[in-house]
Amino acid sequence: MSAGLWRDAVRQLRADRLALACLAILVLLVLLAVAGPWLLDYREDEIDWDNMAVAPFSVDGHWLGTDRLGRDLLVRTLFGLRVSLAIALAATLVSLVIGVSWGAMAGYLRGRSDALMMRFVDVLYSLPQVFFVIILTVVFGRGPLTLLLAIGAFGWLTMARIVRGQALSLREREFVEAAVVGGAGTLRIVGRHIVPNLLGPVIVYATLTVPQVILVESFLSFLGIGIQEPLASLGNLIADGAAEMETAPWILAVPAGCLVLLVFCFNFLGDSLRDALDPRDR
Amino acid sequence: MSGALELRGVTVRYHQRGAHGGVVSAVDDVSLEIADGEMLGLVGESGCGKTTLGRAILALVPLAAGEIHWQGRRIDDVGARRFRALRRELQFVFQDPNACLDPRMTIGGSVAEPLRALAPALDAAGREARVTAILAEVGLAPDLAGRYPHQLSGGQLQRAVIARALIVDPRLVVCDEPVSALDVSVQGQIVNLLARIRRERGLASLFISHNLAIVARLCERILVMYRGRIVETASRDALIGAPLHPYTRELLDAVPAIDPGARRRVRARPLDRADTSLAADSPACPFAARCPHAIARCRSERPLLQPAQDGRLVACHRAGEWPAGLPPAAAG
Amino acid sequence: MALLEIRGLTVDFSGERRIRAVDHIDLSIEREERVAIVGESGSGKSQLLLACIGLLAANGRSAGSVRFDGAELIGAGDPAAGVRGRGIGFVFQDASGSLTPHRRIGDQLAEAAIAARGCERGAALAEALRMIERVRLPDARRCLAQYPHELSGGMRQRVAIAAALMSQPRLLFADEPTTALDVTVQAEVMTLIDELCRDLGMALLLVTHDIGVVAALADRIAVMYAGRIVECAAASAFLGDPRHPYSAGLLASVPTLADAHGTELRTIAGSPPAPGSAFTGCRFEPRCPRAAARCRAEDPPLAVHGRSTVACHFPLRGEGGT
Repeated sequence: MSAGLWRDAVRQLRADRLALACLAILVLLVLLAVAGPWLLDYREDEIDWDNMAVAPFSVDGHWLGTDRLGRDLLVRTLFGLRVSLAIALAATLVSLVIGVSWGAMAGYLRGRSDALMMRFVDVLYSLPQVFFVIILTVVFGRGPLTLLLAIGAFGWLTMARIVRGQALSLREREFVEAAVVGGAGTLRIVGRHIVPNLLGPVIVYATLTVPQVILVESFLSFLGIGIQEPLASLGNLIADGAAEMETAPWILAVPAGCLVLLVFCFNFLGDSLRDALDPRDR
Repeated sequence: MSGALELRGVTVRYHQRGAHGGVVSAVDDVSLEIADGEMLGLVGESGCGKTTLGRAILALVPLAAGEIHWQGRRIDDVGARRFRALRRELQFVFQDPNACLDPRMTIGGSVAEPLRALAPALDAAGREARVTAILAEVGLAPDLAGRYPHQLSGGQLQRAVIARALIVDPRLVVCDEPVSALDVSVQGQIVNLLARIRRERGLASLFISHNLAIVARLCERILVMYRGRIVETASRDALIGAPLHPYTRELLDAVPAIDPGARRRVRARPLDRADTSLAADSPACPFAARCPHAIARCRSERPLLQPAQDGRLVACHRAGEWPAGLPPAAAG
Repeated sequence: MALLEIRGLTVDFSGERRIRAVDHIDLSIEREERVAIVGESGSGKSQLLLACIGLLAANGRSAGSVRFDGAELIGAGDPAAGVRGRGIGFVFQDASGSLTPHRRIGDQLAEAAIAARGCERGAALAEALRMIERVRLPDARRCLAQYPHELSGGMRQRVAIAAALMSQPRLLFADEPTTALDVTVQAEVMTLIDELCRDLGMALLLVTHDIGVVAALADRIAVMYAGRIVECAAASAFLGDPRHPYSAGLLASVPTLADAHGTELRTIAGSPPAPGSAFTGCRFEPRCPRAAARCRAEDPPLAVHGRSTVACHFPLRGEGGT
């Protein structure tokens, strides 16, 4: 992709106010997740015996209320946000690294190597993901690291497919041929010529992968096989909240609202990025 | 005579999909020689295989048959890894500078890239020095090294492409239509540059083009290609003054005349015959469908490339009938 | 009244910066006259043509007036159909601009006739057959039943020309009609266009970067540089006696077989400016071998010198294209 395409994309994005708003919200959420808990009075596992299950805005200091154990909901939600984001970003990074290398190599090599590599992807793709996550948690124990491995093990598959398609067309470009004439080896060509020129779709897909991972993680934590108490993630906060839904609906509403906002903003931003990087009418 | 580069019976095939199907010979039984320091011209139109031939010399496409020799050693059966060492001596100038330069790399980066694999002893400073020197040689200001391709004009880009080909000090350069993608007023600059570089470095070169006028300017010897085969070879003066193959005559007639009298000399042209793509072993002369001099023999027997007068070669059954060459097509 | 009258035509493109591709062009074409516009990249010649037929890109805006037989074309509703209906045909550089790949040639030609003149299908097909024969394609009946990809490039372009003629136009627009073709085929197609214009009494506006292609064909030649016309003259006057230094440079830089081997090719220093560049004074000044201080300061207007109209402060004077 040419520099001109990037410039046009940035310009188009800057004009898209909803996308910019999503970006701003995401930045705000990340900042809150990182720095927020320090600025607030309560710790995430601190029990306020006097103020159990109070509603938002009713008690001083507990702006978004507390849960049934008296823990401040805002702080817990921010902590949950932190955990969910950390896992999502880490898992996306892992998918990116593996997926891009795998796909770019397969696309460039073509022939038998490509067929073999993509067959492997096809097989993994057909396996039931959740089932395997459960098996992995049984084998390796529950916890954030296992979760990361499990999600990462499947997250790179679609990225590899997308990247391979791009690499297949890129390898026919004349500047790749020129690199061959210049004596460059396969690794250099893939690393210096193929990968940098397919960053556009990669960025878009990465942006869209993050919310997917968040949802998977939340779902698994909700089921009880992801992040465990007392560590908070948006998923298990929502599980807690679901139990109290009728008596103290805010315990569900706050983390759920946060999750929805997070996923929406990532998806919308990713979509806008994809439109902006789409080279039509140029 | 054994030249620096020698091709013997080189054939390149590919499978063609679609209505005509089957296997097509992009290059069919081509033999040629380029001596040290010689600039050989290869002329033909689209689909004649000249580009494929150039790429075959650089091992970018595999041979179906034939041999390629460089400095007396056979190079077409050498593996990709061993061929890499040869890339220091054999280089390529591409046609479209916008396509053959990585848009995400600076000009300096692209020009320096061959040094990484082919001159690994150089460090970053050494590479930079070589880049500056070569940019000066091709007439580019040194500060352009930090720019990206989209910031340069077509002429500047093509100079960078030439710089990249020359930076490893090759002995032979294949130039594939190096000026066709450029504006007319800029083409001459690049042609003159190539001529100068060749003179100063004593470089051997294969100059591939569809523009006979430019090839005639630069090359002492010219090969004419049609549908994968060489149909005529001759010295420049002999080819232009007394062409023996009807296709050569057609190419010469097609060079535009831009004097004021051109208007009155509009020539009648034969009809554009139906374009049957021939299978690899069709018996007829490939030019027979278009040839104004075709006889029955041309449609049943393929003419071989054979010696004519003065060491020339022609592939035409009737070439002996016009020893003084074919005259220009009659005014209509 | 001229058949085509272009007055003050300007084409701007919005985007990161506003780019003026065509800058106040005046040109008129009489009935049955053939005019060629010659220019290199960035000259705006293609945008000029596209503006006349309303096919500019979405971010392009044209201003000024283009009158065909008195009717204004700029700002007229649905571009292509309207223009074809009014007696203008157009041929693109790539025949795939005129021909759909998934329909047979006969159907496409017939459709063009029906759309333009409302005749019924049988008559339209007969007309299509006649037109294919007219563009000298062998085996016309078979050709009608074929798809575009089954023909060679040169034959496809002839079909595209036939398609353009189905509406019986009085003016033919052609944008680099032979550039994508082989050299030997180019001459055939240009001869064909020449013949058709003569036989059908059509005027021609042809845009190209290749002077050689139009030397034999044009009545008048206009040279465009950086969005402006810098010279306009009858073809024989232009070819024998160019007045603008750019025209002279262009003519000199076309390689011919008569030139001696080993001599340097004539060339113009520098490169054509990118569209949207800012200018003070004459646009050709940075590359002009005759440039003086006045050229840097003052943009020369078009004026008559001898048999040409030239935009130059110091036009060449009958030196025969030095």
